[in-house]
Amino acid sequence: MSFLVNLALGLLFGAGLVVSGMSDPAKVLNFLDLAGTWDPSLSPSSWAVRCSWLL
Amino acid sequence: MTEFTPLASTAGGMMIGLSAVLLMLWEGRIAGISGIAGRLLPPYLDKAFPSRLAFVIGLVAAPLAMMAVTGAPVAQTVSSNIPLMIAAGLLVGFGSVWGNGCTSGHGVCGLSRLSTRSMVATAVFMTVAFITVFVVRHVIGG
Repeated sequence: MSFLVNLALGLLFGAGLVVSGMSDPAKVLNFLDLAGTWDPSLSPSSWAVRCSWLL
Repeated sequence: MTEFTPLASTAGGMMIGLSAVLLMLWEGRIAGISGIAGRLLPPYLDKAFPSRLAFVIGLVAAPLAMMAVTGAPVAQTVSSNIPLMIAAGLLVGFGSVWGNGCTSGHGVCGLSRLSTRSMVATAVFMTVAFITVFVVRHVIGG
């Protein structure tokens, strides 16, 4: 039971990484590249992470 | 250049947050990926190996499951410079062990618990990450 729950939570976490775009290193690097090809997509995702926890 | 995807990124962030909250409720475990993966190696201080393994299997299987469901490949842009990737991976490993956590442990769980240690850690690694990208892309690579 515990095994299946953890498997599902791992899948959810991984799917979250894919949906948010954080599974692609290029997107993460572009979020960090303020002076160049800045892609601010990941800032709402980091705040959503925090808000869902506080709920 | 990557596409600006605020809605998808927010949805994905909420999935990550939900997973972290449920893991905390179910196992009392912090969803720190480096910690969970690192504790798959000995010494085994508790009996949680199977549940950790299950989480990592789920994590690794997620992109494959996404591909199966959507039929579209998952975007990946990885450096082909193997020595560089090995060096970077080692730095991440040492840093997350010495720093007692990685982006998920400190950035997702720690900040949400308002942990002072995690606030310091996250501020430091985000700042260093911005500086590193600036130096690599605009000072050296510019």
